[in-house]
Amino acid sequence: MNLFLQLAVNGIYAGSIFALFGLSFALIFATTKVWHFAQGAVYSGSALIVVALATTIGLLPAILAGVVFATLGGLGCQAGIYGPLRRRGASMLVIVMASLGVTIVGENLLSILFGPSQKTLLVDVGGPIIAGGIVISRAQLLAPIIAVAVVGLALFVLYRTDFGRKVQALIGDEELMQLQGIATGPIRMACVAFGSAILPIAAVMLLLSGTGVSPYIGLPVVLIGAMSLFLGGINSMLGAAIGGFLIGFVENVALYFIPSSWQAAFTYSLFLAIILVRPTGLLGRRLIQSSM
Amino acid sequence: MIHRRNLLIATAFAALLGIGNSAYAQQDPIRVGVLVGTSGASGQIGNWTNRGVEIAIEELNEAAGFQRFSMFSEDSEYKAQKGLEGFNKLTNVDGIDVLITSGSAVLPTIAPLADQRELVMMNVGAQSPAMAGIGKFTFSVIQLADFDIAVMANYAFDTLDFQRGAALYISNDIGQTNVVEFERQFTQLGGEMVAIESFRASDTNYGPQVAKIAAAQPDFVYLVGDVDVAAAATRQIKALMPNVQILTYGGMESQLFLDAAGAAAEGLLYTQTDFDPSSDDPAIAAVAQRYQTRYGEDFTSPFIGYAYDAMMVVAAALDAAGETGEPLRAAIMDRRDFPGITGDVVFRDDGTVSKSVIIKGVRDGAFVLVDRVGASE
Amino acid sequence: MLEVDKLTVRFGAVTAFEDVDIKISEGEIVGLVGHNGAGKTTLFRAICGLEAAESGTVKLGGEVVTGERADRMARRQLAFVPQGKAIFGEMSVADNLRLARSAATGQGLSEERLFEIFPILREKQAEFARSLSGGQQQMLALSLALARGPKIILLDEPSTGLAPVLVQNVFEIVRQLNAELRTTFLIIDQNVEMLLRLADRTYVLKAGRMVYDGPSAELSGAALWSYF
Repeated sequence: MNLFLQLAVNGIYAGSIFALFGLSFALIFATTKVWHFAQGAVYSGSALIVVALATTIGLLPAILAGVVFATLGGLGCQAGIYGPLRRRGASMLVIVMASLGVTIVGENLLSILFGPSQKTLLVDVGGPIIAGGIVISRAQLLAPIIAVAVVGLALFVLYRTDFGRKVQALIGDEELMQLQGIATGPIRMACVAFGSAILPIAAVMLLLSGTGVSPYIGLPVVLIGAMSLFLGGINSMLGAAIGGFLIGFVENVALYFIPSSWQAAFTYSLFLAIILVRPTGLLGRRLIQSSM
Repeated sequence: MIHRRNLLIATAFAALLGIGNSAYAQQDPIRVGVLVGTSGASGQIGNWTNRGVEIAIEELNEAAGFQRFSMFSEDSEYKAQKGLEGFNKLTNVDGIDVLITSGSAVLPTIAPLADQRELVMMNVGAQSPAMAGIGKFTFSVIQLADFDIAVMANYAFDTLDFQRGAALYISNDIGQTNVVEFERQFTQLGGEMVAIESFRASDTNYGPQVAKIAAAQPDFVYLVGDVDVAAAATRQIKALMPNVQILTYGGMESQLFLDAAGAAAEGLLYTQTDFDPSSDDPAIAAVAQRYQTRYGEDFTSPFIGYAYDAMMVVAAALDAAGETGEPLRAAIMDRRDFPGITGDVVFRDDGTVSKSVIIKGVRDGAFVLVDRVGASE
Repeated sequence: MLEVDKLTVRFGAVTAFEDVDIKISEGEIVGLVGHNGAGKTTLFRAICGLEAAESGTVKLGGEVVTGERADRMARRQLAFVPQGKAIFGEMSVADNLRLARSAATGQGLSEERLFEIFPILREKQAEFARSLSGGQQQMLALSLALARGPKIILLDEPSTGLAPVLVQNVFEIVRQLNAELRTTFLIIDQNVEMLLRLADRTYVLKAGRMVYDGPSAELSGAALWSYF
């Protein structure tokens, strides 16, 4: 029983972080219609910056630096690559390949700058809380709070503000939105900025518990984000966050029943099963259109 | 740079005038290929290997007074396919005469090709027991893991008096073979492995696996993974099980590990070739000095030493053989016993070496000798 | 109000329309008819900035606005209601209207006024726009334009999918708005007979060229069919 509770604690922790991955990927996909693989490089780059700076300038300024990097990175991809390619009429496949290219170049650049190996955050955040044989680290306490706060903020803005309605409109029908006299560019950029800025926040939640970061951890994060998107349903931010949470939670709790070497296979099989039964995802109404 | 150019000009003049001070002087340099992983999470070990060969060649070329050896390096990422591509480039394009390489996934792919080409290949990093007898032209300068593992299993059972073991390993050939071998040795002695968990190379969070291990309440965790990965795992193991003993192997012995694992590294035990990079031994000190001068870093890893030794074995055997290929292989097997900074290199019939193994550990944030229990032969 | 001069749009080798002239004064209701594929919708899209013109000019209120982005054109109080489901389906009816009002540049109709015109929208304001019937969606699409208070509205097939009695309703509303607010309309519709009765003046576009420009009344019967 102890093991199950411990795995559940770990699952809530991982799920909270994966929820942010899901939200980030879904928000950027919904507003740009781009499979933003380069998000992987933005993620690992910002995490590496946090790790590198935390010991010299302190954790909070380092996080701020990571957020700035991620935001600029995300905006750079959109303004420098996806936007121009789209204006030139490039097909979605071309944009996806460009995005993958950015990831690979980014990984290599980060590897040159920070070295290829995994780094951990060397900041003392205090020991874990041990209650009834269950170990709960500070990061594990913090992560669900941050996740609920970030997802809650995003949903509040989306559904309760003028700006949010514009975002919804952009997601729904960009051309129709322009016809209302609203410029889509700034709104799209704001969404890309927000979606990118939450990546280092998620990374720090992981780093605080001793999880490492290397230039090569980006693509798995994108994969989790994309799976969350499919699982939650296209164009549903809440769905993607819930999808991400479920992936993290199930992946951990499943270990009560299966050996850890089967963890990945189990998660992907479950994902496939859900998608086969409900192709529109849990909260989605539409199939993801193949626009390649 | 200027120094090297002068050397080249001098060599060219010497060759022109036919006044070389050695029989090799009029020949092209011997082409030494290095095929290791320099990118990816294990890139650190690959970079150490490259540097070990580089300083050995620098020393040999200085001693010869001309460019006796030149080096060609390719990145295998320690993957079979990449390794094969690198091997083909080195042999077909660069025309190498000797290959220094590592990677338990790479060697089985290229060893038969090296045999076909009669290319002498020095293994300076792959510790999988499967490397024994892998090819007629393959020689391992590094001790294979089965011997280290037996020493560690014995130490855990006999000296530390541990009964309940757990293992956390990276899900690849090295991780698998090491843990299977450890389990075999430890259970043979009478111990029990109560939890064995693995993780993928791309994983950075081992919380789930560590939770399962903690639930089994082991005396120790035998940890197998690349340096950086193992450092993160060490932190996560200690976060959940502050008092558990972590056992591992010599690959961890680097500043990188200490930096990344922080306080969690304290008390860690591992096996290591009986080699001290900071030793007063003049041969080691000279190499350490050269390394420091060239790279501005301390000589810390035995992987630098293995690469250095491998290059020195090649050079020494070449003195006797006169040419590469089959004569070089025969010369190595004839002599068998070479001096080395990582301990004497004594090849067995299957191309493997036997070196003394000791127990080392982390005390007060530094690697120290703990026990000489495993020192052999 | 709106002047289009020798406007040409091509997609590669295919000509959508060529050298098209349109001149509409304030307060007019003007029809645009023609075969499917004659280039009507593309002409609307080019006027409101969604397609780039190869040559020619578009003038709005005397100012040259050729090549301006669609959102800028909309802020110049030109509204385009595209054909079919020109609404944000995943938002509530009320949020649709709020969005349009938040972007209003002119003296748009208040929510109250819109609900007077379309009482059904008041009832359904909390529902997702996608759950409305075809006719209700068309009313909402029209409301989105009206909420922003445009001076000129381009309507593309407002009667698509509507029962004949609803088409009458929509056209009646157009007439009302035109009378009350002097809103100018340019309308494409398949219901040619009804459109001709509504519009003061009609253009006929045939294979990318404007072939008729004159009073709608002269376009009845055989005169009309000669252009098809």
